[in-house]
Amino acid sequence: MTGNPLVDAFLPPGGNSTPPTNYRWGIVSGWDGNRCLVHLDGDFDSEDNPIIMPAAVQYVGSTPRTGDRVLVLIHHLRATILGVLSPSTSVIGPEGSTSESVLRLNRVVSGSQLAYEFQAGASEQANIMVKKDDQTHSIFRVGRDGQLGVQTYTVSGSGSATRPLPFATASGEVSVDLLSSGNYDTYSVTFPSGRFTKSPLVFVNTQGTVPRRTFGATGTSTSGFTLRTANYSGGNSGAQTVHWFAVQMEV
Amino acid sequence: MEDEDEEQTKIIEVVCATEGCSNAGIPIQLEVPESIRAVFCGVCGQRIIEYDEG
Repeated sequence: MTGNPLVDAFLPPGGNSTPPTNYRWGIVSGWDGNRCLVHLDGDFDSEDNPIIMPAAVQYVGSTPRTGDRVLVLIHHLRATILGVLSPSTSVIGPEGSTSESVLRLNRVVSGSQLAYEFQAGASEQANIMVKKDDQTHSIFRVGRDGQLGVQTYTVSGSGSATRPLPFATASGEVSVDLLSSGNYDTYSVTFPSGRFTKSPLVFVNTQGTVPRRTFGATGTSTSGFTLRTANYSGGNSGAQTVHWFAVQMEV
Repeated sequence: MEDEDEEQTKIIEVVCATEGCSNAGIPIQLEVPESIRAVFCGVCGQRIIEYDEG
């Protein structure tokens, strides 16, 4: 035993004092002269303070900065930083893995253990999950194809209920001309280019206080729809502002 | 009242020219009734084409 709890942790059982070669991930906590100070993952003292160890830096393209994730070689009681992970990227689960990868954040709120997870789903989905006391309360799913879905907690406690979200929506308003009694008019409205992959459902509604006519949507495609308006009220109808809303629920 | 479902349609190509509109300059094909009065851009709400009444 060396007397250093960190080094002792690397020693094989049986009292062999030759420390093995080991690779560890850690976070740079600062610099002391030309020695980089590293907190290796999981190394805390008895009071939960991180154990900081100095490390040499070799074969690293850019100088490690405080907060960087680094790969550290432990060899003969010396630590050497071999690589720096891009500070904007953290990798959970190896490439080629076919099992679940999860990033979890824990927090106790009002006495309950909350867990917030980002999960690589089995159905080509990225899942954001909120768990309370080990029970899943809500899941927000982002499909590979862009389809969004939500599962929310049911008050009865029977698990979660699926509540899909629209794949694409669009809305707008157009101003149509006055329309005399006994006539109808036809307009076309384009959708935002490329917004829909299937013909959406279209809903229209006039904003006039006394519209004296009806409105409807027909001939809907992925490009647009036809707005029809008819006036059989017995009186003339003035110019109107019409609001429309189009929704495509699934990819 | 006329049966509007029987009305003839045609395919037209429209391009919004409103400055700053995200649909501006993008050709969009639409199937529209022969009696169409105007075509609106669904992004900026402006009339792209206006046909003579009747």
